[in-house]
Amino acid sequence: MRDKKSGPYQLNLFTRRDFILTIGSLFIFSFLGLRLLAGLYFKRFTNAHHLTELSKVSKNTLIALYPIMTAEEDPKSIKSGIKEINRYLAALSFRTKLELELALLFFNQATLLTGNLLPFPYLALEQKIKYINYLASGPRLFAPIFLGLKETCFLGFYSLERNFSLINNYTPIVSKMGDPDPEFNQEYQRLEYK
Amino acid sequence: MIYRANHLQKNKVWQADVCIIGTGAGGSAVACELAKKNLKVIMIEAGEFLLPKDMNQREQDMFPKLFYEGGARRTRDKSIRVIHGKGVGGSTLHNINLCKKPPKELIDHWELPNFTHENFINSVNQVWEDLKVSQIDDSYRNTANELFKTGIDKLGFSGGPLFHNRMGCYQSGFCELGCSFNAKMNALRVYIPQVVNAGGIILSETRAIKLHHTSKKVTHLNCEVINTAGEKVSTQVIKAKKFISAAGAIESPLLFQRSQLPDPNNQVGNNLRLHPGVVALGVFDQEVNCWQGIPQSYECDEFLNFSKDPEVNRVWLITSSAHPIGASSIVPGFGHEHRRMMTYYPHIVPVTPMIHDFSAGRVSSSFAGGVDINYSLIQSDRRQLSIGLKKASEILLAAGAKKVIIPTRSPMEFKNFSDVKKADFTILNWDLDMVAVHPMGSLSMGENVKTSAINSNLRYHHLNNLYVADASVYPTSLGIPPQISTYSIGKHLGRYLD
Repeated sequence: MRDKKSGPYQLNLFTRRDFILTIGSLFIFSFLGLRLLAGLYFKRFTNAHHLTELSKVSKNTLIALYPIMTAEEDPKSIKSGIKEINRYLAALSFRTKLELELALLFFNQATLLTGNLLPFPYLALEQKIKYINYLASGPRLFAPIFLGLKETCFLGFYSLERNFSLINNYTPIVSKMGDPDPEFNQEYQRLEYK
Repeated sequence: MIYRANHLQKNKVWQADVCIIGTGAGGSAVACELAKKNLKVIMIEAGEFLLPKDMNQREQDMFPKLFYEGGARRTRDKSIRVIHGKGVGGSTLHNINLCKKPPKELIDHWELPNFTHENFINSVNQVWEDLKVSQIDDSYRNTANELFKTGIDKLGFSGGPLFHNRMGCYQSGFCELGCSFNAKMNALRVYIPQVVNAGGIILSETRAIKLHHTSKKVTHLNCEVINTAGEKVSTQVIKAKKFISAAGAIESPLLFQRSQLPDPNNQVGNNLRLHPGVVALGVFDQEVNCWQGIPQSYECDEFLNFSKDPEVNRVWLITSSAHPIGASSIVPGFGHEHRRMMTYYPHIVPVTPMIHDFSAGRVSSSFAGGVDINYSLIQSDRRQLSIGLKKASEILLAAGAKKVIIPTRSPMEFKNFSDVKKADFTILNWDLDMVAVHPMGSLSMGENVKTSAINSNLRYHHLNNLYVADASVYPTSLGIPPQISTYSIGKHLGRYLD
């Protein structure tokens, strides 16, 4: 019995049953599973160990997506950005990490929608851009996936202070270690159990 | 005393007169009142005890410390990001310090016999005084707000300076990441020291897991101490005569559901309101640097009404600002195009229409410790968002913006009023990213047990010694920033409870 005040009914894609059905259908009813396994076998990216919170396939997908989304070309900066994403992921619940994992798996495999047989990391740059554009402005259903992945990439990119220089005048006022001025902190330090 | 996880290595049973779950606006205010009455108070806080020196103005560091799920929590359909805070001081650590008194018209609509504007306003006025609320001085108005005011004045809309609870503000503009300069007159600065000085105990990094109960009352609370690395350190048990849930409109109902409290009418978690907001970006020739100075100091209330009629305008317009990570998610596009747009960011004034929502959702737990926020906008709320975007665009153009961008999936651009007039502002799900920073109403007040979770004395309908003192108690959306009202709910409960 639903209360009149509660919101309209929506299908819950994140119940245990629906999750098992989604994953099951992914592997059983398509050849996507085979492509995932192939992706695992032909690992081509070396930064994957920095993303301990995600599966190998998703790590590879994110590492392939990051430079296109952020227009970053420097491998060292890409590596640092990916590290920051990983640090952030550690603070998230299992469910949110799983949602990101599923979004990346979908993103990896849905290249079929634009007529590409290869998963995302193996596409040529031009095809990758075309595919991202399709997800960004194509069917509305894909919008949250595009947005979530975009936010993830830029979280890594703008975690690096060197990238603040892209925004004229932007700079934090205190150092990364915070402001140790005793004037601001003393009144709280005495509240702490010793 | 405030305990951290490293002080709570061993399992322990605590005894208290009152146990309060949550240390934000409502929890700190009620704790302060009760501690002054010489009651032994224990407060439980899931987040860390953060000092001003911990607020380092970096989004990637502060998001996981200040927000549940690092600010990444979303509604079930992913269309709205729901932000709510944690840490000793709760959401008052990161809020923008806007102060507005709850409107009489709205409280009158609630028609609650024991909760009238007359008996609530004393608590509101007391909180107003405690937090040293003052009108934001004109000299504190940054360029973005000055331009916003210019637009409002030119169009003849109703608007005015906002009120805030800051003292000694450095105008650094990093309010949403916690204040490094201790200028916020928030729960941590105003009420928590009074609680501790009166003998109150606060267990930080401690998560309330389950309220154990008999058919009539709660007997004890089981908690887990989880350190910053996410490891479980110990179990703490709190035995108390009374329990007050003040963990916010998302976490309070989740605790009730986890505890399997009696809820014959399925009211726990219902009636969730969010105040969703969107953004219109005005691009100016001059540099605005919207992140500098007090982020929000002027309002447009021309279209904000508190009528019961959903078709009456109910949208509030204010400026907003974001730091690079936040801004990059608003700016349309990706790759080189996005980078070019970000170089324009210093020239952008973002204006946010926030709606006094009539849509009602539901909070419930999901698998693996997740949260399911089932909330969809009803048609009249979508219309209000459209009105808000249209009026925001007009204000920005009147202020001299060379163009206005609505960051929808295919961004809309207007260079003059005739473009705005012709535009279709209909908002569908996922057209643009919506953000909600004021969850409320999920344990709503009422005298009818079939349509509410707590009575107008803020007591849970089905247990004698369990109360609620946070933003979840409101029967409707407030339509204004809820901090003053929520502090006042705590103050109000603390006054009559003994």
